[in-house]
Amino acid sequence: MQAFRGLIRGAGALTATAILAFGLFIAVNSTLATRAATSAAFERERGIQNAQLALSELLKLQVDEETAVRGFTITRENIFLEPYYAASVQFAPHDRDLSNVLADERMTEAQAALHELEQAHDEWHQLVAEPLIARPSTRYAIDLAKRGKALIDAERNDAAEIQMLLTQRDDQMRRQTQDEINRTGYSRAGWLVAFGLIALLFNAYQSRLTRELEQERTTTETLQRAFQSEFESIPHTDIGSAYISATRHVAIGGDVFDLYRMTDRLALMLIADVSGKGVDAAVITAFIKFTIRGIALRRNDPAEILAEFNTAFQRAVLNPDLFVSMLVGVLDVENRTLTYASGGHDSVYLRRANGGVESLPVTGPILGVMEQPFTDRVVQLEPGDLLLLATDGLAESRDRKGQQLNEPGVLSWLAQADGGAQQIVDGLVARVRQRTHNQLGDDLALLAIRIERDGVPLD
Amino acid sequence: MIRRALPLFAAIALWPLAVQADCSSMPGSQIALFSGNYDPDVLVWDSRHRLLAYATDSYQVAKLLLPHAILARAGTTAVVTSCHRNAIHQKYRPAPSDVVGVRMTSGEYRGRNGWVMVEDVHVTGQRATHRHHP
Repeated sequence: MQAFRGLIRGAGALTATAILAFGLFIAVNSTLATRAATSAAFERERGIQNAQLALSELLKLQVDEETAVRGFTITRENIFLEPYYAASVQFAPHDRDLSNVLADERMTEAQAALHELEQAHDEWHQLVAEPLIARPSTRYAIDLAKRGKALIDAERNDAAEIQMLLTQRDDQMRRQTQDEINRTGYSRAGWLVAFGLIALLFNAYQSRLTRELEQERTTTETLQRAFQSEFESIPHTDIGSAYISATRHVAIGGDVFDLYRMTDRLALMLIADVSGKGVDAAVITAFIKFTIRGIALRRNDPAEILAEFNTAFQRAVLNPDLFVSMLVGVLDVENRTLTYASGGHDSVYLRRANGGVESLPVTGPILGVMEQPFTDRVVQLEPGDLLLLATDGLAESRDRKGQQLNEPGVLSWLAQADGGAQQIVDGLVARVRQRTHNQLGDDLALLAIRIERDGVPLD
Repeated sequence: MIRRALPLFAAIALWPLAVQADCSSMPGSQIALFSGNYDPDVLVWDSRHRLLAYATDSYQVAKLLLPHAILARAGTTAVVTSCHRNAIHQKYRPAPSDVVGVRMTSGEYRGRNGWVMVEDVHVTGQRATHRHHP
């Protein structure tokens, strides 16, 4: 059982399918072979039966000949000889049919008996029938009759021997055919049982796999809640967000955003993109979110936060292939200033209230690659300004021809977008889905923050 | 000594009866001869052993033996004189056949003794029926 589980688990459904296909092939092949063997056996049986019919015909012809000669010798009327001549002509074809079957079946004993029968028949013609027909009243008639009797007896004995051998062969063929049918039946039943067992085991394994998947899904949903990007409401702002994972059936991925209040006037904002996607990348995003929040308890400067995180990340994550692009910003809602540091994250955009659109330049290298200093940049915001924190799933979304949207495309879409922060995010997501025909190549995280006028909603 | 030999003498004396026990034809029975074969006439042999040889050997042997047989017309009546059970073993027959000793009571060979196969013997009862083959 352990070996079977290992086999199935190791090679998966492909192995199971191959086993079933092989079994099916064996069953079909066996059925075809049996059908051919049975057909050949029936053909031989038919041959034996034809030989028995031919032998019966020979005996019947012999009776006709003997009766005809007897009638003629008694009456001397030629009309009695008609059956004799007719039977003489018909004897050879039936004899040939019988001889062919005996040769095909390699029945040497029966062939010898048939040879003796033919000799007796010829001798009866030459030494008994023809002399009696020529001279019915010969003085040797009694001797001829005795010889005729002996020859007829000899033919009968030979015919009886052939008949017995044919019957034996026929019985043997029937037994062989029946044995073949029985053997096939047992073999087929065996295969059915074997495949049934395989199917049951496979089904049991599938059920177990389904249960395990269900448990994993439950675990994943629990983890998703922990890993989920989230935001708190921030005074004087209108906020919208969206998160789409490129991994089917999984609501988490390698992108993360976070927005939470540090004080009444300060909010920490974060967006990051981890190389890779799926559950492995999601684990890193959780690390990012809670580590940044922890650092932000002690530091308000985004560049320092990124630098400290970079050190922690390189020590905690030993995989050299993992790196992160991340923007951390501190939003002062009273002064309407954004201080940010961007570690290689170039997908943050600012749409001014007057309609101007720009992207916020990066201020340092990607995290996890090297330890280099990060610098802060301060942006003065005005009421109506909208910050769009995105991951590269937006700019790198591809159309049917494989063309990426790129930064100009994003800026164009952002310039055209209208409505509240959430409406703008939803509109962008809809356009990405339409562009990619719902086949996202990468995770996508969007966080939109629009500055309001002293607590007065803009719309 | 004589007492001890009595059972042996008795066995020897009763042997002919023993071999006839359960035989198909009882001595004294009146019969008619005709063959179930295509030729209904019956070969009557002057010796039981020649009959056995005729029935079991090839035609080449049978041909040499023929001068020792007479051809009785079908329907010739006869009386059973003896019977030997299971005397003929033909390879194509499932069971052995009896041979029957007869004395013909009609036909051209009336009064002659001979041996026939049991298949050619047909009991007619107290009086033999005279049947003639066409």
